[in-house]
Amino acid sequence: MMITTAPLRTRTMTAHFRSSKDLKKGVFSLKRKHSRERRTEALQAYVLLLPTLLGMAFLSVGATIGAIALGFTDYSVKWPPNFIGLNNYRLLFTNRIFPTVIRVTFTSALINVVPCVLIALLLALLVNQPIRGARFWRAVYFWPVVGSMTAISLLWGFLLNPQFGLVNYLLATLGVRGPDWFSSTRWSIVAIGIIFVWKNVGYYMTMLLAGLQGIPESLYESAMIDGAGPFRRTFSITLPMLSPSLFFVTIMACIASFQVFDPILVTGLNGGPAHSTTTLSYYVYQNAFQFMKMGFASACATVLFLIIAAFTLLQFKLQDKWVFYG
Amino acid sequence: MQRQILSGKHRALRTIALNLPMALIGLLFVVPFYWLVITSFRLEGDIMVIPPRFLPYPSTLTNYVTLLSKFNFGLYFANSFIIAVLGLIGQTFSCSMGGFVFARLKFPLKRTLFYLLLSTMMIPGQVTLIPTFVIFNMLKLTNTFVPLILPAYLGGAFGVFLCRQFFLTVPNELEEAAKLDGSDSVGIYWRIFLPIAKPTLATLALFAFMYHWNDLLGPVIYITDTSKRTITVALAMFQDTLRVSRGTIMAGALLSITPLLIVYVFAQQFFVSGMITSGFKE
Repeated sequence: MMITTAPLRTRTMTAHFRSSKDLKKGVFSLKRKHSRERRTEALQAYVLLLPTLLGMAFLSVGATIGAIALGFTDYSVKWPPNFIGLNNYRLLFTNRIFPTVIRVTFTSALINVVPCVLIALLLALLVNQPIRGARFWRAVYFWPVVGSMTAISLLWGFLLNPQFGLVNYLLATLGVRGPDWFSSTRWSIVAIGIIFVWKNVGYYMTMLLAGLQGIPESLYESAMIDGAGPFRRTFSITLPMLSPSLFFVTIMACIASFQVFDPILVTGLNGGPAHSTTTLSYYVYQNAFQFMKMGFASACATVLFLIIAAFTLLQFKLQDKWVFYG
Repeated sequence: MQRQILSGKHRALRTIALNLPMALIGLLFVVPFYWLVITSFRLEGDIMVIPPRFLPYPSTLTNYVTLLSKFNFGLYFANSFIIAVLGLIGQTFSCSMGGFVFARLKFPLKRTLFYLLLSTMMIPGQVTLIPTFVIFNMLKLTNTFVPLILPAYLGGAFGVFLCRQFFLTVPNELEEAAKLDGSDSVGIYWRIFLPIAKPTLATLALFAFMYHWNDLLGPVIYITDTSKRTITVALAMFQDTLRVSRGTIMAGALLSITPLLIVYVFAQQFFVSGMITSGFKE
């Protein structure tokens, strides 16, 4: 921006200076003016950036550092924090519940993310077809994204009600005895998965659709000339070309899954039954705000942070192996 | 691409063949919504029946009356609205400022700060929750709307990124002209960039509204007074109270999603394009 500014300015300025002496003086003052301008610009940039910088200092970056620091204390709202070294971590890793929490976190991510991405892909492939009705159905699949997770969890809490819910009724008409979703240690996490997928699949479909529309038409045209059928085209062109979007969507869905909170609280599961829906992030919430063990919860939050960071890094590494960049 | 190749008859067949699966999947999204609506107009006795009734009658407005009179839903609605509107204003200004700076100005540490900001997208809310709570608690601001609204005035990776992407596309000429007229960066932001960014700001405003309107974790943690509850907290608390009928819960859920649903029906493109540009939903 500055580079393009300079010649334009010099030209307009030159017109004002008659003698070469004046011109020299002008260029000199212009240079000085430039460095002053640059300083003013930097200063004003920081003024405009102040809200963002404060946000980073207190809410995102600062708070993350704060969480790591609090993890080494016994802080509770009742007393000021005392440094207790690695005690929280010792407690965490010798805790009977902790392996369960980790298992639930990853099982839940698997149950949430895999169907969500696959269904989103199917929906994106369907609504990407240039036919009547595609736009309408796309809008229909997307609507739960707009609704609150609270309302949607309540709705599904009712739909999955074992006695009067629509789902188990429909399963019964098919001759299947539906599970007791929210009181079963095996099915409660699946119920959360159903809510997650139903709420978010339209969002991931939209992201994949953007990826699909970025694939050049010419590839399909030449494939058709070579006699490739629709399946061949999907597997040889669409999917490889879509892999960056698929990869991105998978990361985003994993991160979203690690943070699921609302349905676990709203459906009344509160991490149960028997810790079957206590994901790490819910465990953080419980310890911090139900048991007021802020220090211990911060240690758990740090572990959550590290898992997500490691996961993101790992996926970025794997990306080089299987993602095709067009 | 197939459009030119297939004949009219083929096209009609194709349309039907593809609309069928789309409609079947569509049922999975339509039926629960229908169920939400009809249940909200039913009395408990008509809900807890086997087999469930698929037709809307008999229907009643009792649940809505109960919500508004007995459960004070009007107040919760207003609380949510105040928080969401104030949050929207904060996000619109703070993020457009940040986006403008990263798109248009030169300053030391620009790249470092930008990547640091982007990396904060990966930080889960549960991690920053406790220290943020501790700060607001020390400031004696818990049980007020401040912790729910103030963060919106401090930027955010999603909004800043969204605005930056837009501001990068603005041609240089506009800025040059303003500079020759003696405007400084703040003036250029205020007089030129802010007015032309209206569509992007509308998208951002919508997302900010949606985020605050739908947020549950924040209000659950910060709000203790019943009278300061938001609509999401009020709904979540219903589950604890056995006295509330299913129909009333569904009515509350439906009421809570209605404002955004109306906006969605009329401004679908804002939601979709915003999510695609930024890659983030909340």
